[in-house]
Amino acid sequence: MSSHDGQKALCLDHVTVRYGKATAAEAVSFSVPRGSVYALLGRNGAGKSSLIRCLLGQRKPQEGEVTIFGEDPWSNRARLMARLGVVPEEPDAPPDMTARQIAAFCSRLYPSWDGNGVETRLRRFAVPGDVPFGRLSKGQKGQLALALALGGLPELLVLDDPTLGLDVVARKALFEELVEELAERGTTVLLTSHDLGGVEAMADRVGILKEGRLLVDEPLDDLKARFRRVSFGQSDATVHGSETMKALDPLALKQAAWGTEAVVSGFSEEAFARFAAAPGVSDAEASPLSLEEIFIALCGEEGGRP
Amino acid sequence: MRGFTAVLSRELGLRKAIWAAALVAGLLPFLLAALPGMTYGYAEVRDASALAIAAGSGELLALVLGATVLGRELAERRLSFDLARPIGGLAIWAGRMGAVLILSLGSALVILLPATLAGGGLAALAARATVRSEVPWYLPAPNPLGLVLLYVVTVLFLAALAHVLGTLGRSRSPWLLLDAAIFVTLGVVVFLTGRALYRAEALFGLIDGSLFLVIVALAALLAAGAAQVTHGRTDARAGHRALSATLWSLCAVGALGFAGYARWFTNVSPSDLAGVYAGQASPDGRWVCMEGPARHRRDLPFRFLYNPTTGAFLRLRPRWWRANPAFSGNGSRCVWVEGRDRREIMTADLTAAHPVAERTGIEVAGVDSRLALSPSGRRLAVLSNGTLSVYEPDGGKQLASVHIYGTDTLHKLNFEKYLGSHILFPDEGSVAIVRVHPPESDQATGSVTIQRFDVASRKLAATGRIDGLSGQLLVQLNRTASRFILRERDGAAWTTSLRDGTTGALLTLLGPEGHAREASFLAEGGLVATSVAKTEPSMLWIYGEDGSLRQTVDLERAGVVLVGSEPRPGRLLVAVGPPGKGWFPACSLLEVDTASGSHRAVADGLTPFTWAWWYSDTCTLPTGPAALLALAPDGSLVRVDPATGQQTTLIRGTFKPK
Repeated sequence: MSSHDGQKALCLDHVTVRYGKATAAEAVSFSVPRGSVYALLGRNGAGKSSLIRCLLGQRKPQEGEVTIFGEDPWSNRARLMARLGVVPEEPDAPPDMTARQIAAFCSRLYPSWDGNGVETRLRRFAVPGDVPFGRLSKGQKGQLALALALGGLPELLVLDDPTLGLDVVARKALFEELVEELAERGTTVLLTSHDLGGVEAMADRVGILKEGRLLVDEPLDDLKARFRRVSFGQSDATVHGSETMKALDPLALKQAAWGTEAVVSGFSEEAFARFAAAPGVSDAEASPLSLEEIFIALCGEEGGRP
Repeated sequence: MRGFTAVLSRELGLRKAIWAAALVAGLLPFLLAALPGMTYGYAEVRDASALAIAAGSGELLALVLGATVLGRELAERRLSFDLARPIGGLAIWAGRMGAVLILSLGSALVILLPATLAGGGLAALAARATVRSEVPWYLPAPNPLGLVLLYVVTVLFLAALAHVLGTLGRSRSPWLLLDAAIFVTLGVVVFLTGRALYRAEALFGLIDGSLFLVIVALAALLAAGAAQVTHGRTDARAGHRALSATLWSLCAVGALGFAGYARWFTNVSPSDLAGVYAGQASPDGRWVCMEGPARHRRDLPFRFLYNPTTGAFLRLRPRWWRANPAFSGNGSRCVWVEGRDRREIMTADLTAAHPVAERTGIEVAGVDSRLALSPSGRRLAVLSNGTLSVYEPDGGKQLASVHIYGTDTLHKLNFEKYLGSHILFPDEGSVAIVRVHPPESDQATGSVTIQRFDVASRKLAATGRIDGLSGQLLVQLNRTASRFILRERDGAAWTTSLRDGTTGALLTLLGPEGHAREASFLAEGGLVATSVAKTEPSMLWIYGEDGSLRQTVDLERAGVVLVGSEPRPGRLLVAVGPPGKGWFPACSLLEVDTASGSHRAVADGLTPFTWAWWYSDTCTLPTGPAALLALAPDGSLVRVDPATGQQTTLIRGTFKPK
């Protein structure tokens, strides 16, 4: 429990989730410091939502330990939910209730409720207050869910792919709202999303899941610093297997007419300088990668090794 | 609590339309009552239909809402909205089930409202539903509050059942097969247990056990529904597991508890009796058949063959209106009737230290059966539905059969014939039948007919007849059927006479001018008659086998006198009790010397066991160990040593003495 101290908003320690014989997540460990934004990334079926369900106390992991603010969410779900705001992957609510009724219902449950804030956000998102939830568009449902999640003035915001199905405008509005929240209250955020551009602008730390295993768990800046696209010409095929190339830790090599392009995960200026100066290597260049490119390199068909 | 009330008010708010629908349904009784061709009055039809519609719709709503209000969201995994809020799992479940209950019961009330406002006849209809005569005797007397409570519990049960069944059905899990298997297994346990109680005539045990089962089932259904939400949450598989584990473990506890309760209820030994209130002794006095209510078993009577010397016993399963057990003349065998739907004669070998009940394979058709064993016990006479049949109880072979009297379509008449018919197997070859034909009116006279049935020739012969008898007639024979005592009761006066067992001829009147109250045969063939209870000192008259008066005994104290037994030849154990006290009076026990007429006090505060004997075809005093048995006013069965007066309690009774 030493790692789950008061500085951590949430912590997963070797968490395994199974559905029958299928393993959704295996021995996943990571923690999110208070006030930070953690992006948990992965392809569909990587196990993100299963881990979120465990975090929210909606499912008990088969193995491992989950804590939120030092407490077990399975045993203390109701109490912890008063400190959490949740936007689920598929926002849901009683279909016959209007947004206003849902907000009124939620206001009775939280110790402190920012009713004005909810109203303001619903207006800003243009979510009609008197239309039953079942008749709202997918984007409106997501926006309502975000407004409700923020209404309880949460210490931890859990967003499970909140941009799923949202158009560009709605997506932008959602991220703006989050940025504003972070700026005002310093809320801790755990976010899963396929909108890696939006994530890149917000996240402090990134975890990348592949087939239930956590490949990456590190600060976004560190991640981006060690991933580069390296292109070079070579006069000798042995360059690919050379020690100087291995020092850059290449994930993928792509041969082209003009030379070779490699995505490396162990980039450093020194290692690159040694590689560029190695015999048989010419015109070596290194360019930074976006989070999306790193994600594709790691989780694409050919990727996998961090 | 905040979560519960929030969920409850939300669910109620979402179903506001139900109230409007209920109000519309409340107008239907007015339309029904106005339909042409109604046999009953307008108000009666309106109120009755309002009650029916209200009760039915409340239960229907409980089923529909119970199956959907939570189950659908669980099945469609839409519960995450509530689970992502600070609402406890129990509050999520209880809020919804509470809404189902309020909507079901509330809608029923709304449906009743218009009819109540219009006429107010509902109170009368409700009162009609609480009439005692319309409720089976074995159920508690109904009252309006009880009926309302019963309805509330029914609605809750239906809602919980629908919720659990709906959720299980939607899960479509292969584990449903296991659920079904457990359900069938527990159902079989409950059925077998219920059948065992039914067969043991333990009606109140069955009612109490069923009530326990319903309570456990309701608790199991509610707990299972709650467990599914609190432990399963969004995990359908875990939810099903939690539901099944809770449901079946509680149901198993209920079923096994019911089985254990039934076993405890019926597995009674003589020491469990709260007292002995009826019985009979074998001719040799080694065994007695006794009956009494068992402690903590809702006064359910149990009957035992009991050896007062060794304490060995065999529990019988008779019904009270069936034949009393019959002993063979030598006391080696006892027969009785068992079974409810299929009535079979059972037998026990009383020479064994611990007799066991054995089936004879002989079935009796009617409820009015009389049994008589031959002196050796190797032959059995059965009078049932007017037919006398003779069997070998070992193997159940029928030896002969003869029609004695016609079976009446009216059971009452048949039963009277049964009561007035006495059969005795005085030897191995013939059966004596003495039948009483009471006067059919105050002006008419009654008669007694005497017949003999020869087993070998299968011939029934009339041997004697007594006509011109009046009043209530009672007949009791000696063990050889050579004599019988005839008692005629005309108003308060008894006329008691000794009659020849073959012809019915008068041998002597017993007591002064025949006014003896009761008479019993002695072991060596004589008989003893008692005086009518008066304030004067009680008397005994001892007669020889030929009917001649041998001795007159003045007991020197007033009261009811009862000759209890003949503990040894020439000695009688006689009780004299306070006049007017009927049930287990605290008597003074005296030992009377029949030769000299002297007597001495043995013990006080007891009643001879014969006081509680079933009315029997014979009235020979008990001898042997049974002759020493007496009953205390609290129902205790006590053995008395006539020499010392020492008392040993064999069965401790707890009756409240009157």
